[in-house]
Amino acid sequence: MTPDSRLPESDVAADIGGPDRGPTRRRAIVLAGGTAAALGAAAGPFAHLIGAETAQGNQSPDITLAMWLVSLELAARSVYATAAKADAFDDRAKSLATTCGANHGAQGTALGAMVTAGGGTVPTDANSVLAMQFSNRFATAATAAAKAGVLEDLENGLAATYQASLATLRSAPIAAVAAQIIASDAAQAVAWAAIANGPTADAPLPKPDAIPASQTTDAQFDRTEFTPATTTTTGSTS
Amino acid sequence: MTNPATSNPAETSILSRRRFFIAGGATALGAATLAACGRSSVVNSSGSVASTSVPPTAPPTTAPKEAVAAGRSILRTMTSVETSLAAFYTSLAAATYLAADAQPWVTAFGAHHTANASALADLTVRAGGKAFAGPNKYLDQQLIAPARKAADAQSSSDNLIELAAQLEATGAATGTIGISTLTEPELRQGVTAVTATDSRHAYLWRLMVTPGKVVDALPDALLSLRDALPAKASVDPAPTN
Repeated sequence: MTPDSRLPESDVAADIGGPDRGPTRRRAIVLAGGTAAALGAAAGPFAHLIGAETAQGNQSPDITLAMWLVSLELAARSVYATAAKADAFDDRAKSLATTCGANHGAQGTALGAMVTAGGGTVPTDANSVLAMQFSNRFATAATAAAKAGVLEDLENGLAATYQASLATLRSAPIAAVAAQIIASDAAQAVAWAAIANGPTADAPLPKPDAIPASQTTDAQFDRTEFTPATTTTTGSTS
Repeated sequence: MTNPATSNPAETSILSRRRFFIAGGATALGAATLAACGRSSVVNSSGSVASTSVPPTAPPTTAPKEAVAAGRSILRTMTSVETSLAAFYTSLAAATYLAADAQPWVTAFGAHHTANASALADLTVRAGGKAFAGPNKYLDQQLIAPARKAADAQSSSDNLIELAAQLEATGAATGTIGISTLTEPELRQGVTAVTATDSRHAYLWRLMVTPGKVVDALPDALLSLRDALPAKASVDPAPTN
């Protein structure tokens, strides 16, 4: 459940382009999991490869957006850290919470690699607005089913947020990672919908309306509302 | 729902069809379309994809003609996949042995795929291409037909559900692998609107064949692209439109 990191960095460097290829043949590493992590290790010098700089050399809106998305992932992970220990949850729900928390950590890592590659600084603080809102909702939910419903909302909100982000992302590598995250978060939402729809304890299934016909942006976390209290940034955010 | 006696050789043969798309080192769909527009990509051992492209120094305002054609090909192929999935669910009406609790999902998911095929066709037109009408012949012939025949022969509801899970995973991965080929945000968004739904469907079916295993049925944190269709499944083997 962690991003693949088996693609050797040497392969990344080779793919970006060695002397034998020349500058016009230089290539960008794009897309997915371990490649993102490997690219992150390559850091700033390759920022232009993922469209991370504007023509003026400033940090691109894509990187700024990716930084915000990382802060959301950190917030989700923190909510799940609490959920995984909730007395109201049985072992299955706790295990699901643990896995989802780890997945959000991995997703944050993958995006963070893109941020690093783009010359930005990866946020280390969770999005405080999102973390507080969902932690409070989770704490006040009276039953295990209600708590699962909160986590279903969290996953649906994240999937919708990434879906909305694709409307503005220009960088193909970042968009590709976002697409992989959307699909994963959408499935996690169904998992929590199944738990929320107990009491079929042995084999819970969600209610039919837990699976919409298509992914929308309706439940997105609006960036103006979910602004982290502390985010480390570097460079201009034009 | 799971039949405890699912380990007989015939059923195992159906289950072993999973991952068949990457058997023999098949080239992923995205790779072909990327190659067609001067890019390349590789599917690494974990199914993640590293693709390469000529690096922009700034977000391009006009995509190369070849890239636009490759993007349209992704949209057309995804339309065909969704059409095949819709037809698959329609065909399940004749599968009287399918578990009763699966029936409502079959109806709902079939409608989803019909709507999503239509949405992708519309998107193809908006992208300046010609909408594809019809199923994906590769998917129909290589997976659905033989797996369905085997399931029917055994009247195995579990095998049908397993097949549905595999088909949905294929839809999700095929669309996702195409994202980096698409040049316009609107097109990417149109595809992920569909792949997210396919991923939800796949999870539901996996949960049905492994009752209660809410964790085991989850996809990877970053959706694995192992299940993506190979290049030869493209409806435009050499995108030109």
